[in-house]
Amino acid sequence: MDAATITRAERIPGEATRLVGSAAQQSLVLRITGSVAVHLHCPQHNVFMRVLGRRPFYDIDFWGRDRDHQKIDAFFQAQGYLADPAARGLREWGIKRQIFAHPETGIKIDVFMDALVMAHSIKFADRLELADPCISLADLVLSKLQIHEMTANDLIDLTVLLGEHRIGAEAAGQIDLNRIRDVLCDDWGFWYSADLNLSLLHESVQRPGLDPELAARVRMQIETLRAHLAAAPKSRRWKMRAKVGTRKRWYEKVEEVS
Amino acid sequence: MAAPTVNTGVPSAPGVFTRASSGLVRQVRTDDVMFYGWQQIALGYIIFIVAAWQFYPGASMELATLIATVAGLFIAGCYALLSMVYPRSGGDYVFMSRILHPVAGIALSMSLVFWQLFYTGVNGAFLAKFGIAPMLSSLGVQEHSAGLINAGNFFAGKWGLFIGGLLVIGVFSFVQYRGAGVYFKVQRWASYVTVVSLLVTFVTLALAATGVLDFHHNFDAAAGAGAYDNVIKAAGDTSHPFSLTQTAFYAAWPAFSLWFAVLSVSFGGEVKDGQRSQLRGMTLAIVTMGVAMMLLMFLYRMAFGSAFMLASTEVPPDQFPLNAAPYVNLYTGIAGGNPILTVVNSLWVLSLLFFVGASSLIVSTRSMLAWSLDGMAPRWFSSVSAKFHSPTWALAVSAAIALIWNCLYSFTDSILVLGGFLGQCIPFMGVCLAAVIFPFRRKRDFESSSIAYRWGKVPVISVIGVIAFVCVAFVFYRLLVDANYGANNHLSEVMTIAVTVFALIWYAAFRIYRARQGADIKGQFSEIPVE
Repeated sequence: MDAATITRAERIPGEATRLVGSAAQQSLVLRITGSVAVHLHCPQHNVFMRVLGRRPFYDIDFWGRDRDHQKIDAFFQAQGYLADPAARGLREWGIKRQIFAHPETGIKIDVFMDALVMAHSIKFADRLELADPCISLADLVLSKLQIHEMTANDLIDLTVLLGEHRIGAEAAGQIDLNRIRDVLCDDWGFWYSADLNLSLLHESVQRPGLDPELAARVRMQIETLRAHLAAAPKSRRWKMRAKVGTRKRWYEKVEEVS
Repeated sequence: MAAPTVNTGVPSAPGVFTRASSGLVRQVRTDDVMFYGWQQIALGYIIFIVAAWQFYPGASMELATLIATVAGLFIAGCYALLSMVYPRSGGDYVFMSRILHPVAGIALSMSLVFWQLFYTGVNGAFLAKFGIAPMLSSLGVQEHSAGLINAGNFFAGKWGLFIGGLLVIGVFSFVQYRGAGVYFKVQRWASYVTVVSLLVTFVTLALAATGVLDFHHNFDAAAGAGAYDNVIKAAGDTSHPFSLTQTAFYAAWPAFSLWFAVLSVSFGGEVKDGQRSQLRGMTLAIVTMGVAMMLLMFLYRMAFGSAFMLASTEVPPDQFPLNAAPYVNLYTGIAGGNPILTVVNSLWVLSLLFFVGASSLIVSTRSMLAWSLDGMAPRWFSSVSAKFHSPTWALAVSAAIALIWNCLYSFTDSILVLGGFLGQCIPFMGVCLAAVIFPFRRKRDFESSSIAYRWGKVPVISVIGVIAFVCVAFVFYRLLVDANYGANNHLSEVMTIAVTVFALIWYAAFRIYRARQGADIKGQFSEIPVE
């Protein structure tokens, strides 16, 4: 790994936090998501991200509000970031996303607005104030569980996240079970993908090489979450979709930006 | 995807992937491509397609439509397969500039855009003449209201046509200013309304065809005793033995409608699962509307009588007993005999005629964007609104050109319905030719693409291209020699040539300008343009 990549990766968490603070001074709400949020949310266990071989950070993902999109555009440009030409036409086609890159540091910024629309969707416009400078723990877990094609990096992020935080009540500084339950018990496709990913995670932490205490904690969290989800009542929408099951594709296909 | 290699700790498990960066989920779906095809096809054109039947003695409308549908599928094959290799907005411009030659790309694309804007302007007038006017006339006949009949005649007159055009240009310029995403949502809901209205029309016509609803009786009740038979008598003998030749000639009319579904390639880069969506969406649009057209033609004949339909369009207006134009949607209203049913049956005609202008605007703005991104048009062509990121200048230029055409159609006699078809056949032929030569001219792109199919040694796309080219060339020839189409009117011929000359000058000027800026024109056109 070259020095520039290492330097950029080391700068990113600080840069992300700085950007959130600068934005707040202009009454602009931005929250960090993705792997950088995992790093910031897990001060005790984030060392495992490197130990387990996670790819270094090269971009920062933010959540924001669509009504602020012009302010967001102006804010990042004032910070020296340039808008990505490949993403220039997205808004016109109903995709609420902005992408920037810094010509000197090489840091890429991806801003999702009002909802994360990927393999599954997570609406978050009214949840940005729940945590600072990152999104809430529950939303972070959901953002990982919605992924259809999990990567090793995603598994590492979830391992660290579930290793550091317990699933319980948001108010107690835990991963809010109610939020996860509300989202997954109303969307069968998302629930199915999440369950597959939890199985994948459960399997991945059983292999030799991982800290046994961490592995045990993660397995317990997975089992707790699955038990709660199984017992939770499901919406009518969930039940109707469950009848169709996997006969129809249950996730959206995610394509490249350009 | 193969599982990644990791250093320690969490080894890769089966089902684990690699991902370079966050992707995205596009919002335009396969059914949106089909709905867009429906708008471009504009089944509402059946009103004048059927009215033109009189000029082709012995022609079978249904068989002609089948011929046009099959030909349309070959043309769609060319467009869809090329869009799988070049999945970029501005579709046919991209194909032709990269495969034929950049000058061909600009010239043929400009021709298409020019004539698409012709139909943006003129379709509003069609909305008034073939949609609003017959609906109001029908309601006037049913309600014995001279006011409604006069209102219908107003919309069929100069100012009515102009207002219809202004409505279409104004509404859709605004909607598309709000963003293409907004437009496609509006289009989706309008298409649902179209489906429901069309189904009601099928049922109404079927009831009329089987005698449950009596069109003959209702027409006489509205126009006077014996009016139905008098119309037939006034036209004389309109029956002719079946003629395959006349059927083939007549096929240009349904082709004028059905073939335009292929223009969904203009937003090719924005569609979910773009490669397959275009093929599916275009094919579905042509097949569903082809079948709907054939069914309507059949039901119209069964419900109203072929002799009456032909006679009513052949007799001079003063011998037609109603103060309204003799269009099939007027007859559908009379057959239904109920004002609410008349309105419901009119909705698909109104909706489809209303939206054609919008679908043409999409072609125009996307093409202008593509020219601008290639440096073949001023940069301001691709400048976008800060709020909605829609191409404001391209929309403004398009609306202005459309308005000019609207004025010409509304207030002069220099333009006829198929006046813009001649100029649009040329880019169709261009794309078909591009499909034929693509495997040979861009051998590496073809062999590495997902469309590298062969029958023996012959590339499939080339075979499809040859068949499609022959079909379009036949129609082009017919448009040139047959005055019944109105496509070879003086203004259309002059403008077809003038637009081509203008485009050539435009290309030369921009090429010189870009070369002076040090741009690598040749290299640029060997690449796929940035979206």
